[in-house]
Amino acid sequence: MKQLKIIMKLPQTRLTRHCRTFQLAVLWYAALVIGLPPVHAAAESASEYAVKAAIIFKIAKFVSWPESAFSNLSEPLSICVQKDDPIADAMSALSGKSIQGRVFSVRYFDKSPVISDGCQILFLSTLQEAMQPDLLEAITNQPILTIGDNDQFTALGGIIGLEINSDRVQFTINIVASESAGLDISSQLLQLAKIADNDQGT
Amino acid sequence: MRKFADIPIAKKLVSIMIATTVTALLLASIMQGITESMAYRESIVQNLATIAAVIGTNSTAAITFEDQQLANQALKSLKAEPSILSGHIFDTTGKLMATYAANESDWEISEQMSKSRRSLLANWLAKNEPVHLFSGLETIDIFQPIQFDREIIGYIHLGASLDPLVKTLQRFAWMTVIAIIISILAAYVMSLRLQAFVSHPILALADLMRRVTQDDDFSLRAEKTGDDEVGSLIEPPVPVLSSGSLADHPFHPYNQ
Repeated sequence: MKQLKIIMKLPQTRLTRHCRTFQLAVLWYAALVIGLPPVHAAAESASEYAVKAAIIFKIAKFVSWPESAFSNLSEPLSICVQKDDPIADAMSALSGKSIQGRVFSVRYFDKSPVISDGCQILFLSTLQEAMQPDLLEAITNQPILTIGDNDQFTALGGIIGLEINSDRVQFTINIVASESAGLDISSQLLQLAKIADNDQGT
Repeated sequence: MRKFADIPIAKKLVSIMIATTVTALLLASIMQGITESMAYRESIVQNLATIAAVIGTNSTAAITFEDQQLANQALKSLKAEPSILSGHIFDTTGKLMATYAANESDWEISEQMSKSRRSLLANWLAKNEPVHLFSGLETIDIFQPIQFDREIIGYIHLGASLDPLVKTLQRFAWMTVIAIIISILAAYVMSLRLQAFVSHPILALADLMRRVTQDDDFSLRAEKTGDDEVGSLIEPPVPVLSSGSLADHPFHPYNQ
């Protein structure tokens, strides 16, 4: 952007106009070849994660955890996300908010989440796609709300799958998985969601 | 019109008793009408507040996820309450999320009302407490915050007709009129009989005086019916007799 501003300050001659067009073309080409995302695409992506984070926070308001999910009444309601996940920053912005009379907190894990760490919500993005089946299998009966953003998340046994269509976030709920986790999802939330067909896995 | 003082005592007594009965009944009816009206207003506010709370609770997900279709669906359940004319759900900024109109023809009115009510809502937002507004005997509007997870997420407005209150008051007025007519008749019949206890001794004494005057018959004696003021007129107490003034009168029984 700085380069573009410098070009704008040059005198408006035919030669400089040609130079500017040429330099712009070179910049775009470089961006394509090197793989740098265009500026507006990066902005969209950031807002997309912010929307996803907000949706996850809102969804959590409509889920009831069993008492066993918390060690005491003042224990925060924690979401576990991978440190490198693009949603991590957006989630941290929500940390400290109040939810169901508890403080919302964000816990970060490096490669694989430690289940005994006190996660009430576990967000698994496409970054952890490879480990998802094993991980979901391992926590099947634990009171952990698993949320993912890939198409097959609920088919793999995840509870809520997020999906962004045009400007709206839609979510699919796997009721069987939520029941085995001992979570109570509000009927109002179910009205808004697509219900996963467990026979077909989606 | 004859002066009240010229009317016979019996009629005076009957009129007084009927007037007293009607006045008492009318005052009691007015007081009861006011009490009924106030109780109805309180109950309709309570009823609407409960309905608003239920609708608000049912639309928390719709508001949270800004789903207007679901919010409209939540308001549709108002159809079960015929007195409710309109309903609106607003978000915390005052943006309209859902509208309900009892009749399709009232849709525009409902839309207009939402605009006018929105300005009221803006004034009430600061209060963050339920507010109701009566428009004479026509409508009532109630505004209530919608809370979820200890947070205000929106507002609900319900507008209801006060027709049931008007009908109740009309029915009450008719019942009062009927009760007054029956009371007048009952009071008339009863007072006709009861007034005799008061008027008969006076009338008998008056009749005796008339006969004494007409016939110069001083041997006539009034029959004493009681020890009240009329009875004391018929048989004067001893101190009066001994005073000399009345005892010397030729009509006095002691001088005959």
